[in-house]
Amino acid sequence: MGAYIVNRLWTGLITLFLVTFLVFGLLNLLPGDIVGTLMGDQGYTQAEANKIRHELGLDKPIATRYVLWVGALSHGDFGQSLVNGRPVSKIIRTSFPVSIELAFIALIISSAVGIPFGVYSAIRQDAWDDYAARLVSIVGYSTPAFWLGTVVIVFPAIWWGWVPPLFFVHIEDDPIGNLGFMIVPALVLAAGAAARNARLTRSQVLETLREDYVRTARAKGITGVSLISRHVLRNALLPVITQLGGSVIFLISGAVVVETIFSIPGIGTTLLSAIQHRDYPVISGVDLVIAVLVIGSHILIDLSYKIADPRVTY
Amino acid sequence: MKDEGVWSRASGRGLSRRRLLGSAAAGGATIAGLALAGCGGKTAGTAKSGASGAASKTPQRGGTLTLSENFQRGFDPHILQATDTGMFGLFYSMLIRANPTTYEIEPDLAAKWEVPSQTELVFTLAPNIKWQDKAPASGRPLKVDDIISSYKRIQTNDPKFINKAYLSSVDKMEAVNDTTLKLTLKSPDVTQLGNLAVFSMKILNPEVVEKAAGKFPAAESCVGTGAFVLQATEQNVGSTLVRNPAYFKPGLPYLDQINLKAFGAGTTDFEAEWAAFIAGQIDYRWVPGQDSQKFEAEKKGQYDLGWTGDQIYFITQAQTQKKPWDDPRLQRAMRLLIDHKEFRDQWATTWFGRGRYSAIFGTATADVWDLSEDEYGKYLEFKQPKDDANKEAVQLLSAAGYTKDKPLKFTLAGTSGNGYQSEMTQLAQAQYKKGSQGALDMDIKLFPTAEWATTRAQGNFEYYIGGHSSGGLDPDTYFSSTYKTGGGRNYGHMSDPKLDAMIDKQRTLFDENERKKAVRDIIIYMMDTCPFGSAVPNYILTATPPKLRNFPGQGPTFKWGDHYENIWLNR
Repeated sequence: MGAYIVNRLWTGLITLFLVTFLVFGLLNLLPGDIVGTLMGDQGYTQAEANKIRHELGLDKPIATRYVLWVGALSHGDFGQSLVNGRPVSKIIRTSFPVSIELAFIALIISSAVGIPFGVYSAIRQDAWDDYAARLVSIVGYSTPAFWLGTVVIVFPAIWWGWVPPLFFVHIEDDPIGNLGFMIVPALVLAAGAAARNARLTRSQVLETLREDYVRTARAKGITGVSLISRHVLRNALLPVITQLGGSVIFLISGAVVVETIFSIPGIGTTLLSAIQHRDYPVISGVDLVIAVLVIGSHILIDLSYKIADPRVTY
Repeated sequence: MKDEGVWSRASGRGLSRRRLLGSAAAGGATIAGLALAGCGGKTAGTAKSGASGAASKTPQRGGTLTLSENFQRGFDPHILQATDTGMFGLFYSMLIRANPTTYEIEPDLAAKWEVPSQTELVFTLAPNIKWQDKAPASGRPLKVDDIISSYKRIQTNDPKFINKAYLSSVDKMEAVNDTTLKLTLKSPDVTQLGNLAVFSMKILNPEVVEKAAGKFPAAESCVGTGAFVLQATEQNVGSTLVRNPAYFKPGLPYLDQINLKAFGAGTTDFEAEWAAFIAGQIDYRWVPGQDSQKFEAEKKGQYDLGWTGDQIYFITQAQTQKKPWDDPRLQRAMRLLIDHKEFRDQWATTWFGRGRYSAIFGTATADVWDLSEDEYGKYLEFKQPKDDANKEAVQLLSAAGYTKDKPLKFTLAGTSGNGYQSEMTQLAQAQYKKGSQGALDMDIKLFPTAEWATTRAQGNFEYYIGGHSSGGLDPDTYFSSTYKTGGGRNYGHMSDPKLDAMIDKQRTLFDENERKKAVRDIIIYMMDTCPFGSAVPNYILTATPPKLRNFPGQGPTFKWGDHYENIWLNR
């Protein structure tokens, strides 16, 4: 297993370099650049644009800039925002935990709702409540988060003069206020994930229920909760666990829409703003963090199989 | 030497609005035409209506104001557009400023000013001005040299310093003594005094500037002489400001604290912001255009409502350095094909609630300087129905070689940065196609915001339609930036020596009637000859809760942070 871990870390590192270099290069293919952001409505000549790019170090070849960036990273220097001069490391340090928190709450909600939903639906296969549950799942799966989030804010405001809390507070400043702020966007974010979890759980439980050993267990008189919890779920949930691990990544990186609608200062809004302004150091820094997260989480998921199923070997 | 004309009346006590706008002191004033209380003259419906209407009470001290604002670009006003620096007035001051309701130039750091000649301005500072008590300024007294330092910084010969044009007439700056600043101009320029009131002309602490080395990212780097101290700020979250206990204006500000909340990142989430206002989570918000008429009808008793002019102007530009866009026949045809009535009654009404005709200006300037809508209606470009204009356009296109059988194919550029601009482009396309009877065949290309700025600046377009911010409300801020040879927003590189001369001339006219005539002559001349056309500028409906007193009112582009010192809460 030790060799497996080392091997995965090596491939992870290579993947990290490839991803970050690819993104770094692709940034330069984006039309428009930071000069337009800095100059606003004011026209400028090519010579003036070149001067600004030179001051910002953007006139160097991509490969040179990448090497310089990696070199700075080795000293913990992520660079500074081209838009407002803030250190990128500080931007990431303040925004990343917010997204983690949002994703974590959404994960808990989507698991707590989706998995039991899926199990119940499987047990009640082809009954009216199974159809109802599947319909709810499809609706939840199909409803875009941006629509749901906007509806949750706008319509209560119009009908009842109420909106969910829209002013972010840090958890260390006010834990209760922070949770009150996060719960609604987490519910919006969790809706689609819960539907996916429910559908996958249902299909996995149904498949497992048809296994020979389950039939044997039934023949021995084991039924109900005991059958499900001790004989079915343990096998059925393995793929679900895999998806949950992947869900974390999806929830973090895909939360940009929910973060924007609910004014959550997470990594998603940070990245969106940076892309809009062509703030290359921030984009590169956030990309690096997300890449580390994705690669690291996949390694952890692979290792977690051993825990879920002791028969798994590497 | 005392001059004739308005500068001799500009003794620092303020001018009447009519004189101000037609006179030297009017030039470049950053007046947003907000006029919550109404300002007379040719303003469109700026009279206040609604809940309060009562005479002012004695201001009450205390309370917290909560608004929407997201400081994303740092705190250096000298490298930002005026529209990005309005709220910096909360913590920075200027030498002089404009009053948002009376339009008068009024004192700020300068308690009074004198005009010994048409090329000299002498300012006397108010007493007891101190920098805010934050390092490295640490509460020391403001010096005249601090102001000179800021103005010289604005004039830095570096493309990042985009506001240097507002001091282009200044030849010399001298500290006459500890409290007196003298500006000597290169030549008579009616606009220079008002240019000092443009939002970006904030005075920064030299020690902070030196320490910042060009980066002003945080509250620590934000040290001014304004009414409020920026205590804390976090991008995409919000900011907290508290009363400056050492503010040099006795008794001000009234508010204890201002909380600014961010809605969205990059661009503000207007839906969430509006919902927060309806739910009472923020204390002010301008009314979205699509809701304005209904809101005005239903909420008149609950809010103080007023239509205010904006300074955004929507124009078309031909890239005159590319054929066939250097052809005057084609340029005029494009102007004639725009249906301004449809733009006003459909597009502007839908997105903003109200619009008006203008060949050049935003509504706040247009209401004072422009032709009336009836006058515009007499000119072919604006005349209704459009039959005659379209007929002439088709003839011009035919003369230029373009017919239904041999149409001109080109790309009409616009931006997808927001809904109203992309829809404006689509409407223009529809009008061009319909009116030209097939002689124009265009596709649309909508650029995202970051790309749009570069595309325009580098002239990489054939013909575009888009919005611009003027930076100020004096007509010259439009003329010199957009229509004069080499202007900063003259992306299509138009060049008309006669027009340039007319623009230069109006800057030297200190008699308000003469200047108004000169401006009108420019507008009429441009309708006949300008390669650039126009859509329709917009108004904004402002809604102020009754508890909010002396709120200057603002739309999305002009924000009067420097007048928040007068706001008080009626509790």
